[in-house]
Amino acid sequence: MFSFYSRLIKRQWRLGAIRLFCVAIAIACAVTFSITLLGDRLEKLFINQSKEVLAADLVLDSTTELQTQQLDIIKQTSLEQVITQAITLRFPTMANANDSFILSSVKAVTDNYPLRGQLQVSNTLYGEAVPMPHGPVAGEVWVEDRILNELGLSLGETVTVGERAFKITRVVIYEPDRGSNFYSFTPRILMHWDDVASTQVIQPGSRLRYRYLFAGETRALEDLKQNLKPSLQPNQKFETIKDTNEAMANTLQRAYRFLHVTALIAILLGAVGAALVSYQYANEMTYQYAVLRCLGLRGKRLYGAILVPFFLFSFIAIVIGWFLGGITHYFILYSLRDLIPSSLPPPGMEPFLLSSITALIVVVSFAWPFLNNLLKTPPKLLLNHAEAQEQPIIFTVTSMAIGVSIIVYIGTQDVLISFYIIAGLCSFILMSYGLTQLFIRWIIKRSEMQSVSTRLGARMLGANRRMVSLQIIAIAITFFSLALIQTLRDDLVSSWQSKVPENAPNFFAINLFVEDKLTFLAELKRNNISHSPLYPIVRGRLSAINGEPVREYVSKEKVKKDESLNRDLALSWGLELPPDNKIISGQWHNPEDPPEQITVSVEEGVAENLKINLGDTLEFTIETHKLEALVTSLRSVEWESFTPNFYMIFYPGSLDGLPVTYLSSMHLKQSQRTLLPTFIKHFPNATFFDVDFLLTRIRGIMLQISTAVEIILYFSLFASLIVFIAIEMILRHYRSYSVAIYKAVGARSEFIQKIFRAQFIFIGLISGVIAYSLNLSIGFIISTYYIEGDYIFNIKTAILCLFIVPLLVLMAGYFSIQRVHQTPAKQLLTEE
Amino acid sequence: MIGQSGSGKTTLLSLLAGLDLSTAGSIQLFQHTIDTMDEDARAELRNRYIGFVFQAFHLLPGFTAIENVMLPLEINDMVDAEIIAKQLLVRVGMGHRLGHYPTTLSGGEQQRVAIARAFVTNPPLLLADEPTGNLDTETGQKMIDLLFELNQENGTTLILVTHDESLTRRCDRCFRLTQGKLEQI
Repeated sequence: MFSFYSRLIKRQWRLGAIRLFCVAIAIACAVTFSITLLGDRLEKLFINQSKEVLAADLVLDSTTELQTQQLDIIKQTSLEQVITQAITLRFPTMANANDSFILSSVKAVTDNYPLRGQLQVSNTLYGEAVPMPHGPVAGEVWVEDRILNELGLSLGETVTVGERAFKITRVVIYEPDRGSNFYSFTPRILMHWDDVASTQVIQPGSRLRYRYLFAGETRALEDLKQNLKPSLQPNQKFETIKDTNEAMANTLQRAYRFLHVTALIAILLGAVGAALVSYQYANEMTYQYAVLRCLGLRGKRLYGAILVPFFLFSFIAIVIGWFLGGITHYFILYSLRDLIPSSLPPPGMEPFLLSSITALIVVVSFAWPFLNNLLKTPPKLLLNHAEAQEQPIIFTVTSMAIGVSIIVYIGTQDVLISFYIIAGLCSFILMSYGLTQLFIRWIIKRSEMQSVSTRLGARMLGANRRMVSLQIIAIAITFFSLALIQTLRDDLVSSWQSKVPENAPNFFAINLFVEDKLTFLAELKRNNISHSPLYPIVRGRLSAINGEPVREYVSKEKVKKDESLNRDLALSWGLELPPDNKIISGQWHNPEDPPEQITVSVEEGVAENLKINLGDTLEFTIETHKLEALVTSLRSVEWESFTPNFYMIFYPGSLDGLPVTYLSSMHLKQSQRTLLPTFIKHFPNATFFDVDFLLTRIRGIMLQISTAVEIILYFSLFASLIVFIAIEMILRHYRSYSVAIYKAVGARSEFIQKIFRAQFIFIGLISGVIAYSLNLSIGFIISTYYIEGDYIFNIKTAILCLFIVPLLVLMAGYFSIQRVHQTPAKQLLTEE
Repeated sequence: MIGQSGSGKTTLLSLLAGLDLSTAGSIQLFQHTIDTMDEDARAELRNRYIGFVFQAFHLLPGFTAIENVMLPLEINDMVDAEIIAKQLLVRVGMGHRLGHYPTTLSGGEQQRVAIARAFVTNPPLLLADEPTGNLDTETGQKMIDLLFELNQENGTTLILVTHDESLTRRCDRCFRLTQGKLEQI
């Protein structure tokens, strides 16, 4: 039995098709492997970067110090597994120097802080940011520029916090865990943990915020989380990335999705290639199996004769695929060496597992239907030159559909999205098949009036209608995917650029007084600085919802504790809806119809978290005043846009008589940054924020994402090349045969070339038109529902589909004809 | 022309048609020395002077019967290709199956179409390579009858390669090819 299979395998290895089959599966596997490996590692990298937002892998947030019991649990878990920790403590306090006072937010940090990411500091006021892996040493503080400005200090001088004077040694520009809602912050003073006690600021009743930072293996942290969970108090909670920085989380989530869609397209292209090669393989094997059956092979051994070599070759191909994928992966890492840190997190098992599963799914669902057909090859095939068994269409399509579904599900991990993609694919195939038939019929009809070569070219399309349709669908799918990747990438980038454009505000001015308003605007105009309108701000707290104090409301309604409850909110008013804001329910303030009571428009996120509905009454505490407002609309806000955004916008006049300041955002060009010190001097009460660093960082992440996508785009191109080669292989026999017949009946080479040229132009044009029309519709669906960006018309895809595709098909076809063209007609005499 | 398998019948036929080139000597065909002509010139010569009937029919799959017959005429850009092809198909008894594809035709029917294609350009020389090889005796007999009828009607020179020695009686001259040597019998 064994020698039977080993002989069979040896004999089959001599066939060109089986070797190409191995290459196809190896490539499918390599594509999956390297994409998953790259995705896996990039994902880990992105996660690491987003962990920066926490400055840790896991954060336990608490308003009190942890209890001894909890500290013991931490200690115990850290003994068993490697977990590093750091603690930060935040509290508001007055800082003073030169008889001036400023309300500041002190943050005391232990030596290890930050566990993830780095601080950015500067050695001069408004100087260049340099990374710093730790906080200040004991006895020194680092402060934000606002402290220096408002207290009239410079570096090296001292500031007093509570009972203790500190030397200011650096300017803090960026803290990884600061969050993005910058304009409600009081300026920062960063000090060492050990100095807190000596300030004597901490008294019973102080507003404290402890953050216990942990870093380590996912499993260790998960254990820690589980161990601590039972002892958590109501004032303690674990923080995830999403809680901390919504803008960043949205961006990353979108990026993951995009990476997945891109990878998916490449994998499906690989599958198409494998299916085509298998079709060709089965064709070549038809006679071999007819001989075997003729010689009496049946039942289990017949299955074995097909399955054993087939799966052995697949297995070898998978292993080769891992090697190829691994090598490719390192090439990619090398090309990304400036973007990716040299020490990447180690790869998980996932790439191995997923690539094997994907390759096996491709083998079983895409290749097997063709192989299965071999079982039905009638032995009489040998006797009367009958045509091989027709491929059972329904079985093949079903099998491939199941394969696609599994692959898509693995890629998206989302039933609904998978459903959309598969529905799209099915309609794609059905529509393109229908369209192909219509096009071919139309072309044949139209070509009757054309030259002979055009006519014959069209007729040859019709002659091989089914094969040509398959070819056209495959080319269309390939280029549709490439066009789609192009569309989506451009969409992603441009929807980002439209949100964070080059001239996005990079400076914020707050605390502008009413009397400064006009001079401020005049100064901006004089210096030619682009800026947003001035938004009025009244600071206040949300104190009650529908008459119920917020704390009670929160525990009663079991709503998510919202960050907005813990601090002053910037309350604004206006008649004009800020750009990027959209009313999702209710009515925006209408100047024609002034309300009888105070009305407010609420941001949808807060509304959702706090279960605030239209018609609810919110009570705000502003200094000593209390104010009730009716919720008349809910708004969506683009937090990524870096323009001023507000949770609460009142009807104008509602906040009259309350202490108001103004806020504006500006874009300062590099050359304008020197204006800043004078500017600041002009408005001593106002404070200015530099957010340039945050913007640069987000742009850096975008660059990494689009580079990753580009690399996967090359994979798709490679996979599509396999598809093309496979189709060429399948059609080669038919083409050589036609060439021989044309030659036998006396056609000149030039004439034969013309026929083929006409054919390729038709194939290219049909494929291109189908790819383009499908790209338009599916691209629209995906970018609207999946990536949640705006669909943007893309001229590049039009050029790709309508010009480049026909040209490429013509070139590739022409290249393949060069050899086919040499087919001697005399082979017709020897063929029986 | 008869001879055993491997005796060189097919090689001789392909040399005669200019499908292959001789390694020594030269072949004169209709005042042309085939050996000195390039491939395109030989193709043109075939189109004008030579018709082919193959053992395996060799119709273009996916082309209808009439499209297959029209092919040699269309290559010459003949205007009434369709009319001529139709007449000939009617003549070989295939008038009712003009629009059928080779796969839907029986072996005999395919060979009728192939014969029609061979005669459609009215060639002075017809080469037939075992035209009955893939057909049953009865059908084969009918094919041979048809071939000889058309041969008579068109005054064509027919070179017939066959295993069937009974056919030799219907030919004017018979040769046997043995180890590369042609002997008249």
